[in-house]
Amino acid sequence: MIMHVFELFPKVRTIPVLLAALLVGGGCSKLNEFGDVRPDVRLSERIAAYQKQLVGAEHGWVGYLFPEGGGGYTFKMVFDDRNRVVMYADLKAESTQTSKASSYRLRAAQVPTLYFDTYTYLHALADPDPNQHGGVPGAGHRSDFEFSILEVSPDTIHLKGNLNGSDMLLVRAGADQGDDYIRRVYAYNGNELAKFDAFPNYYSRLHVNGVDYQFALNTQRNTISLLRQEQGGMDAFFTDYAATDDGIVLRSPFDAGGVQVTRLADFSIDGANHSATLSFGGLMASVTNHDQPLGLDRGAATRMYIQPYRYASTTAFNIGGLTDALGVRTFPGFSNLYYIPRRYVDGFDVFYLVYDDGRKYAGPVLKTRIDAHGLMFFEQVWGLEAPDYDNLGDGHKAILQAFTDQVADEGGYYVFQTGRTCYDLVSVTDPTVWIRFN
Amino acid sequence: MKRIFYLLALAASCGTLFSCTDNEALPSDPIIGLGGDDWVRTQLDDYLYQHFTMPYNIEVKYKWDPYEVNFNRGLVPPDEAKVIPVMETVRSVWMEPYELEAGPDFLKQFQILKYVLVGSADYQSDGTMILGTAEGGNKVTLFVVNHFQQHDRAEVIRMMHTIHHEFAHILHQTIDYPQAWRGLSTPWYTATWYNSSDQQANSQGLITAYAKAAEREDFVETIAYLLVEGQEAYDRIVLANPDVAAVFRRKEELVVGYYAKMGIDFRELQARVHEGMNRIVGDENE
Repeated sequence: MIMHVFELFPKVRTIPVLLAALLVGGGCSKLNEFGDVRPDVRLSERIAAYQKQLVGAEHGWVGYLFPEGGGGYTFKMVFDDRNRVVMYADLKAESTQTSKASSYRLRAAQVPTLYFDTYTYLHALADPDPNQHGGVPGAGHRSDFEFSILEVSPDTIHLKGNLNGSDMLLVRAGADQGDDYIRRVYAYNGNELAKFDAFPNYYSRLHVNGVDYQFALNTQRNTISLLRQEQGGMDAFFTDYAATDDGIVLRSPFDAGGVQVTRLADFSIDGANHSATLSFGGLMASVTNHDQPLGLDRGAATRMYIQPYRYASTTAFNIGGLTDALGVRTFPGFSNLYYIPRRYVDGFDVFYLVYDDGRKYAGPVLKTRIDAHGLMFFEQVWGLEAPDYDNLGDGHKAILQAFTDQVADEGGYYVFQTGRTCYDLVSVTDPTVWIRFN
Repeated sequence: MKRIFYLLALAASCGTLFSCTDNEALPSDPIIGLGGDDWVRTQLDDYLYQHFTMPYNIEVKYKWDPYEVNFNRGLVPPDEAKVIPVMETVRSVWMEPYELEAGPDFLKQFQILKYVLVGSADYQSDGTMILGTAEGGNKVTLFVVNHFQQHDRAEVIRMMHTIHHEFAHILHQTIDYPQAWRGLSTPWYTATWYNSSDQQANSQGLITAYAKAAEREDFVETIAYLLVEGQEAYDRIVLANPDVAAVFRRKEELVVGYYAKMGIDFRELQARVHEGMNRIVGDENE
């Protein structure tokens, strides 16, 4: 029913009274949430405050950077009030020992933004030239060097990359985190944590909070994976980590039965007994080595195969805890071992052993089969593709043959995903034989 | 009903007349970032100011600014240590030769107003890389600065070829290239120039594969090649491709004529560029 306005207000005279009341009541009320301070003034104040905080840290900042392309890297940065930043990074041995100075600025972009605006170690991860620090041509590791400042507390600053959306966490450094800190981080990750790779079997189990997880730490690419047997399959978790001098910091927290874990520390790895203890986000955890998988990630092999990606391994086969047991790294100028699914249009895949500093390659051409259980088989070896085969010594020809035989092992491989583009292949017949692709 | 409209109109006019009168003065504090960026100057900034900004009003932008480049691409800023070697080379191999041959005001008339330096190449989805661009007749972006080696002749040639190429664009964007150029190589121009090798392009009468990209690219590639790679290198290509020798010589003649109209002896300019290059790579005798 439509009500006529005269029925609502029986006397029309009411209306002017009402309007007058509206004018008086709703007149000049002014929003004044910000005390009449203009946005530009507030923005300058914010930026000045951020600058003061960055410069004010007596021992500088420890930065954990997680590029969008995967992995995690640790930096030590000291900012001064003259737009200069001095940096160490755990990218390679040299960048842990020699500092590099460059320029930084805080700019008023859509969000106050920290620019690292001349080249330093941080940019190597974003460099589109793969010769700088690997990655994909044209994009590198999809990292960033312009970061929006998202969240600030006195001791931490959360940043997000403007172009690729990488995550970076800056934590105020302590007195013991001086110029040698990154060297210690690099050694811890490369020497101490890599001891897990020397355990005889591939399968390690982490016991925490009454639950067992299949556990793998990829210290080449800095990823961690935890698989848990659930009804009807495996619950797979993996994330990137950045190393510290006594453990690792996770990019995404892990839910260990209600406890959110972001930090693993105090690893005590017993190489003789193939076991370890550690602090798992404050919980005590232990690691043991086994000859059986806890379960299978049935989708992993297919995910690996269909992704358009060249999988690279720098360590080739690990057998019984021995890295590169077959010796492919003895090829002069060895750079990488590639697995390239669908290299040829007729469905042939290849393993290329690249040597002579990237100029030469050799390896088997074969077909990949994935069965209903998610096992991966390399079969129908068509032959070797090796343009410079004749100039290889007998020793290297034998290594190439041994490698081909191992790849084509009839038992096939279990596939476990350890990172966004990282997969471990473990021999079904022999739990001591495995290969890590990044 | 009519009265209501009157009343509403009255109310609206009241509202307009007597609403908030704002007598606040306009704010005087500056808008942040207006007037350019600000940072604490270093020796490098002083060097650039002294040698480029003061005498020529050229801005050399080496600090990262995403809005100067194709900001959705994976690029990185230059390494500070490379900035002076690159700009010194630019001065010796591009600026000084033109100044000596065309007079000190030439570069102030036909000017690159802004250099933007980028550390890496700009990777394209078709597999090519951009090494340099020129925009609007006054801005040049130089890529791959981080790979620059001042004493490596091939590297200096690569970088300076880009600059002379881009500067030639600025020249023909002001004074168009001769009409006679049209038709010389027209059948060979193609968007997929990168499917040709330099040798194939040479056999078709074009000095590089990129010269096949368009008529204007052909023109500036010919200029850059004659100046930077040099006359000897040009002659070698002409000799190796006798079928199209006449096309190459005609192009050379047109270039010399184009410069002569601007009052520049192109042969002398070639010699000056050669001298500048030898000085930079530290090879005075060559």
